[in-house]
Amino acid sequence: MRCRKRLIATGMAPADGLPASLTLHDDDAVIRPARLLEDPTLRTHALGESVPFDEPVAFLDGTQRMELLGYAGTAPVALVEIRAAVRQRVRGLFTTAIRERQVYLLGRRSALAAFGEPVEGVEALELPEGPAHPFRDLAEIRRTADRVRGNLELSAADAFRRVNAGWLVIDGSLSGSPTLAEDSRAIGIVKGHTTLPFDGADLEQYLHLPPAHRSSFFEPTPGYRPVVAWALRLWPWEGRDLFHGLVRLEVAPANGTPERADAISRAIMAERLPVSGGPQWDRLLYGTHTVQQYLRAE
Amino acid sequence: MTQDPIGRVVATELKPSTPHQFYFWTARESAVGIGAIVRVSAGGRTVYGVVTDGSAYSDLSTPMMDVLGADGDPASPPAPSARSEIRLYLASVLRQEPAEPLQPVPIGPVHLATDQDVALALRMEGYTVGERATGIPVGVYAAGGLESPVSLDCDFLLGPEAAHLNISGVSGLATKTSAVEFLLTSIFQAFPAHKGSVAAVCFNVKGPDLCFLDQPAALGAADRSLYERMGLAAEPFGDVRYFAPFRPDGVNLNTLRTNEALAANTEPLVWGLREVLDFAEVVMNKDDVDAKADAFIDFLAERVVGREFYDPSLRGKAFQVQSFADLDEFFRAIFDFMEALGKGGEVWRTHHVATIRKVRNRLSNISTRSKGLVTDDGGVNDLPWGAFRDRSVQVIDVAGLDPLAQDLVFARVVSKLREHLERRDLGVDHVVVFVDELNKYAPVDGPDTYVRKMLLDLSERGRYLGLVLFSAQQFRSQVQRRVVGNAGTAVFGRMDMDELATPQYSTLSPATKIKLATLPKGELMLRHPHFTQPIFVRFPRPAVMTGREGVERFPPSAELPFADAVARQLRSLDRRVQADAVRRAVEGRREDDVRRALAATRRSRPDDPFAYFVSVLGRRVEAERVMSPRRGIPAVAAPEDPYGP
Repeated sequence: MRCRKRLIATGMAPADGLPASLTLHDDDAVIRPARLLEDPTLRTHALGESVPFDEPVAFLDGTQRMELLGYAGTAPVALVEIRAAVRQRVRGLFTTAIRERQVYLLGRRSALAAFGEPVEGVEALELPEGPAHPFRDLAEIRRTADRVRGNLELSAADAFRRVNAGWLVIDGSLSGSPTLAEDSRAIGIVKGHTTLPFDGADLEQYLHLPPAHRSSFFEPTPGYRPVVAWALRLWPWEGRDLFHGLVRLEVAPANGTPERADAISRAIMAERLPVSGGPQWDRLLYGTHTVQQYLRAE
Repeated sequence: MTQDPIGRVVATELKPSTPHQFYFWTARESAVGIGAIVRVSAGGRTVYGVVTDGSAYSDLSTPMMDVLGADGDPASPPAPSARSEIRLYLASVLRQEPAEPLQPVPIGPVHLATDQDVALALRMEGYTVGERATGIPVGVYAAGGLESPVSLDCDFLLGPEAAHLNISGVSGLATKTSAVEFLLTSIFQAFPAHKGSVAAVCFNVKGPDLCFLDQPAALGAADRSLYERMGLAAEPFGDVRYFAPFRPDGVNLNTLRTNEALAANTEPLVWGLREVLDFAEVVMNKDDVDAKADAFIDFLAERVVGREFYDPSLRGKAFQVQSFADLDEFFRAIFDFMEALGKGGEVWRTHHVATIRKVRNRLSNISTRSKGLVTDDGGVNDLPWGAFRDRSVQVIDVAGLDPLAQDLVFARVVSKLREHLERRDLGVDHVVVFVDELNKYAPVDGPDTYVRKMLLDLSERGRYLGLVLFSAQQFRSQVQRRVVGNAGTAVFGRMDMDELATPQYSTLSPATKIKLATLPKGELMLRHPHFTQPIFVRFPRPAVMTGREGVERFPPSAELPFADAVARQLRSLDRRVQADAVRRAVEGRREDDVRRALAATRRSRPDDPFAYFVSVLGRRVEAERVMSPRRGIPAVAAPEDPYGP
């Protein structure tokens, strides 16, 4: 308690525990300097009142479920079920517009050969060969599952876009998809902050962003697929954690104007409500939450 | 059968499906509500259920999250997304097909019931179709735009399988009386010929409620459509007779139905000593009815009243006790005799003087408190015992009578109905007796009166005779349990929440209770032996004029002068009778003589009532002219009188 008082007295920002966004893959935590696109130096922009989207908006998310079936010798074989869905909101109510599902049997080639013919509806997917270590293989299975989940989400987004030209809010980054990175009606919401775009004083300003403010927009990873991004503080963070209520928004370069950034930020601010609940309630938009609920319940 | 499902059965460990109930969810906009009938078809099993409770909740994990979201401001702008919300309903099983083996309700789609489903769910296919159908329409089940006729089984409404109907509901919503009026209409139109004939006897115990059953109502299109849906004609009762006692003057009727336009089928209810004496027990409290009083009343009934009774110790000539006046004369003779005996004169013919005085007081009390109903002169006008017509209604208006007299009327009429039905000589096979304010006649606590015992007997054994009790009260909990418990069919209108909190309603869900407490006019909840759960139905306005409308349309006449009231009575027998002629005929006559002549005319129903009345009244006997006495012969003066002047 005395330490906490001292911390406050020194003007440091107190925290109320470990950040919920911290997944503790400290090897993934990196700073990749971004290129500012809006201001000469990083600034904060007040947004004022939130203004909801005035037209139907859809939310996309995916889930994965892994089940370790067993080992062929020492090589693990896992079943991974991937789901993705787009739920569209019309007059406040959600309906499912797109849903995708795939099931994979993952393992080394030798392990899959030992398993024999995969059962109907299950696609076999080989892990890259390398030194055999069960833990390494399991980590590879997880990475592969993440990748195929990303692919399935992109597939769901494409399917939605074929039938609907409205706003699509995606739980995650746009830069992984050439199509979405150029989609002027797509918004990526990045909740995790293992990759940070600034360091030093800019990082402090970035992470001390006041509520209902956005940062200057920037290009997150120069040289990669170009998108425009900025940070947005959805809820007051002081007294909680630097990351509380902080999300990174990604849009296509076509939306890279201050007016568009403000308008999109205000619309996403409105999506804070209703509160989604759960450990990520401060960053998880309710629309995305309903997609997750749907995928879990299906 | 091809309609889209409106919900799906859900069963969890905490909320499992059982053979008697199941849960299902619906879309927010679903037409399902408390009381809706639904069907589940899955796994070769069809289950019909009625919705008895409902709940809704959202994905909000704690109320605090909503406070956070609104920044503590209830007036904050609404969120762009509506929270995911579940509408979860609990349904009680009405019927399962196949019935055996009885199993938990399967998980499957839920459909709103169709007409055919409603009939099957309520087991109506067993008694509403075929040559010997016994269905009596009672209303329509209305939900989701559906209006399905619902029928009761007359074998279970009018006997012999079960019988009687009891209706509860708060006052002032016209539900109880209206429901009974409509149901009587339905019975009269739908009671099957192979079940015999039926009539009704209604006691009008307050206001003008039942005073205009013979007058048509102005029904709206919605009501007419309901009649049509049930296959009934929206018509008033075609054969109604009204009976009301006189006011104490013995010529004006004590009813709100005194408008001359209604006089044709409104007649007096007048009883004499004989009619009352058989029911003396009604007017005696429990302390009175001891063996001694009973014995003396039996002595009067068997040896004195209506017979020639001769006792030289009382007087030289025989007594002819026909009326209360004769009876009083008889009592006076006994008391004179006993007083003359002096010491040792406490007993007459084994009856103690105190017993005799008590019986005399109670009996004379009847004639005092029931003046207008009970005549002193022996003239009687009664219900048409032995000549009840099929589909006829006899309404006895006792609203203006003293409660003691109401008890007397009720006890005697029901007893007579029972006697005649036992002998099968009433004229009809079934009689529906409608009694409102049952809590007054058969209260759950209070003295065990003759009327209460009689109602209990009627409710327990009446169905074998075709004597059926339709009763109503505001609070069912305040009525003797066995009386309402024996009613095969129970009907509930809007109920008071305090009443619903009593143990009698513990089987109803909170939602059903709320629905009952807010039930609109024209809707009822029904319990019937064929229905395994209570069902809500809507019924049309009765096709008869309401009491309030009737009083406005046919305002009661002011109490008429004696002669005019007599003229009206005679005109109800013959429209040609002139008031002036009656006035001239009764002018200067003793009122008792006029009343006696009127009673005789009514009893005889001659072709020319006025001529008969005049003849019974007798020739006017002119007062004898008394001549002034002739002067007597003056006394002869005696001059030698020493005391003279």
